[in-house]
Amino acid sequence: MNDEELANNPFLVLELTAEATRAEVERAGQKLLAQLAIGVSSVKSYQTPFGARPRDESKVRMALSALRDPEQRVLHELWLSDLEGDPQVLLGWPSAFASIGWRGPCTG
Amino acid sequence: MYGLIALLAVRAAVYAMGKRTGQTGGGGAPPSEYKPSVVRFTGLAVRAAFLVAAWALRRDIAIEWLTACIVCGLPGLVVELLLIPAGIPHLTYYFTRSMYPFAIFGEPKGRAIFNELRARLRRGWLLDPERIARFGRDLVVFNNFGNDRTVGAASLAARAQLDALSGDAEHARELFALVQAMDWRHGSRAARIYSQAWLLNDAARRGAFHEVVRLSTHGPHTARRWFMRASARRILGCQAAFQDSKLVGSWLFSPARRHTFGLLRRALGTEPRPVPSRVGTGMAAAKRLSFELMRLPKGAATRNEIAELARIWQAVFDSGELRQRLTERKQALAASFEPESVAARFERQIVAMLGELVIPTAPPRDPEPYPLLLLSAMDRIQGDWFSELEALCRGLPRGNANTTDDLEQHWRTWGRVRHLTGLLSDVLPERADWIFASVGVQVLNHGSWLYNRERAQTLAHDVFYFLLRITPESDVNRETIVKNCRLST
Repeated sequence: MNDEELANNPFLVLELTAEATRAEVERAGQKLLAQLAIGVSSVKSYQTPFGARPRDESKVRMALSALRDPEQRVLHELWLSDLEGDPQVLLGWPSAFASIGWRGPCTG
Repeated sequence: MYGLIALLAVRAAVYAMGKRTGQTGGGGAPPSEYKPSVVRFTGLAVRAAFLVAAWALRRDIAIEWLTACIVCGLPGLVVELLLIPAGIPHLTYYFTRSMYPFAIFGEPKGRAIFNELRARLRRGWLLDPERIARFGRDLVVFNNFGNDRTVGAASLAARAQLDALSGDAEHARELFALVQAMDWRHGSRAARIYSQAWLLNDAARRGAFHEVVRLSTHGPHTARRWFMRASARRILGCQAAFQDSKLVGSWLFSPARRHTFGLLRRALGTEPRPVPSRVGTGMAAAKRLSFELMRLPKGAATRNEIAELARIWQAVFDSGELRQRLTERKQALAASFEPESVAARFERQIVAMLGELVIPTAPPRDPEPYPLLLLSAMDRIQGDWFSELEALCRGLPRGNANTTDDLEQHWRTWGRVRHLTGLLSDVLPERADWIFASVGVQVLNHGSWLYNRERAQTLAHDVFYFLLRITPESDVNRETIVKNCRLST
């Protein structure tokens, strides 16, 4: 279980709380799908404890499917966190290779 | 006169050390050659002879001859201080080829390509793929004697440079890691130091400072290594690394201070990381601490903090809080799942999360007994890595396997094996003994096959040299490994 998996929690994707009913889940999912279909920019990302993540139709459909299954839903409920804000990210050191005299193309 | 005496001394010493006879070839006379240690000694002695001659004749010969003697005596210094910084294409290559003949220095082509690439990289000149592709041909191959004595640290470092330039960073890292850990008898210090510097700077460039900390525990002892380690630990917020004088001191002794000043400033500007909160016990506290640790940069959480988290989760599982909550949710959702099976799935997810946290952390010097959940996470990591390592080692040729003559592939496979064993021993040092128990004999047999059948003697030595460091003193194979290591030196 890594931060990407936790950031893809269906409750976060659909912006729902753990107490959401089945009807609320369906409503939220269909609303997001409709908004994504017409290109509403404000729904193209969502907040997670690991920073903002992009949202697309496939992610919403997967979230809907996960929350329709009670066993999966309960597991995702357990992983919901109320922590907010961006996590600390360590930036790289851009001139690292220059210090060893490497001015060629940088590797990935 | 002094020069003549020095040359005679060299010749006498070489005779005293003797020739080593190789295996009998297919019908002809057995190929014979000097051991690498003799080649190395001869090279050093010839250089010394030039320097002695320069000193002895300093008043009797013209300045040009004196300079020539000094250049012949210290070619490495000329390359490092003059030719590589100048960055003029071709010059370094031909200078190295002429100054390091195979008969007395070994590894002439690889060394020349390694230095040439370093020179070109200084200014980024003539680095288009077509131009450098020819360097890769016949770089890591068997020589005319049918062995691999012309392939050492510099050839492998050159191969790694070419990999990196073509965008294959993963293979480049594995080869550079091999070079930096090579026995000094097969690896020039310049190549080993360069490989270490490349690995450290590559990790720092990607922001993977936990890798800088891990990598800086190996390889040659250099000022760069200490500075990079101190900086990385401080950037990660390690409490023990907050001593400005040590950090600045290590920077003052490190090379390329103009370039590394930015890293020093960044490290000095880093505040100590606040200790994650531990709000009581129970599931809410466990979850909060989990997210706090996962939100930290990779490697910033300590092993003790992760152990503490595992203890809190263990208490949650033991208390029955989770099962009670699952039962309540089952009723609320009118669902038919089994709370026990969901709890077991959740526990597996917690173990996976602890494993993700553990991998980038440095092991503590005096580890406390770990809680069961953390041990499960370590078992899982070990299982993943060991299954790949064992599969890889099962495929290593040994015994009567046919020769392949693909030296580069042998080195690459060995690089992968070393990468996995390195990860295992760095992340789980308390389980490092299991490496030998698991794959030691297969690797030993592979080394013997490389030496006897493939005649890849330098590679075989690297295999034995590695085994020597991981074999327990009491193991029955240790004597064989020591003998093989001596034989292949």
